[in-house]
Amino acid sequence: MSKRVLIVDDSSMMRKMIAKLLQPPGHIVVGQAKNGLEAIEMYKSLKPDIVTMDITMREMDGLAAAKEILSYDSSAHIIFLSNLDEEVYRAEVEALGARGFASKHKAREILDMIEQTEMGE
Amino acid sequence: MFTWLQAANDVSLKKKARLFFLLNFMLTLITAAGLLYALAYHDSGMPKNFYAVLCILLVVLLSVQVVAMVYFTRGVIRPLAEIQAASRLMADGHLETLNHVKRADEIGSLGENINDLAINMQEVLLFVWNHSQSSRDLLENIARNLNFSLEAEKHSPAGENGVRKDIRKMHRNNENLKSIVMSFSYFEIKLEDEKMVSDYRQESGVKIS
Repeated sequence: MSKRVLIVDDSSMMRKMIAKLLQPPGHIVVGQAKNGLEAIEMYKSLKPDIVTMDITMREMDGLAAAKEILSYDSSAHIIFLSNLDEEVYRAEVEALGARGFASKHKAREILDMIEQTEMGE
Repeated sequence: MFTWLQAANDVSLKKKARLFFLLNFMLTLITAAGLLYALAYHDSGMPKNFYAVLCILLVVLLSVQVVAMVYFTRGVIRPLAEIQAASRLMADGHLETLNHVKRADEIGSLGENINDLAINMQEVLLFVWNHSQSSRDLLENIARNLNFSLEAEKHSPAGENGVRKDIRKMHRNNENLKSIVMSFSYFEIKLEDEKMVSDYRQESGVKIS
């Protein structure tokens, strides 16, 4: 089933790569945000099914943005993407109750996580 | 004339701006003085108000020029100098640097674009690092399966066969690639002891490891 995805990453190159990854399975990229502040605004206006959220960003990082989005909509599906291992952010990610964590460099992992997300949870 | 124009491109923007405004100011003063003198000398019964209005116009004109110069210095030259300094740091490998120039005009756009370049560069380099680490692990596995150690000797011993020599060469190339990546500094990420670690500081200044 195709999902409406909001891509959040401060790197325009990374946003392009994730958008390219989502194309063949038929997912729709509804928006692209370059920092946490833009992500919050775009989430409220676009209401995507899934948000792929980079953690390390200028202005406002992914963890702070996810906190805001989840307080606005507790059913938001946020998948964190990072260069670092999950262990580094495990505590924060679990405290937020976010839907998942994937390495930026493992494309298959990201796609699997998006496809496994059940809507209506 | 063309040579002069080309030479002008090598003079600093600050100096050019100062010269431009000074010339404008002087020319305005000289023109105004000349006009007032000519009118006074050939007094054809102009009412006194006329001279008063001319003087007020002159004051307004000169004030506008001063304000324009101040704005140009603060609003154009200074932000460009900040962008110049920040982009120099980025070019020298400090990818955690940021242009803080926030405005919607061309100068703001220039600052943002340079920031985006640094951010993308960080992404590419960290990608390269991760893949180099995977390659190193694979090469070490292959070496172990072939019963030799990559670390034991830096260079191929004399008479070593083709496959081992090639694997050592690949390992050396890999290590060279990693040392290039390590010569940069990154935003909220540090590369130390063969590991990529978070350099994220909470508001209290505490590091998360």
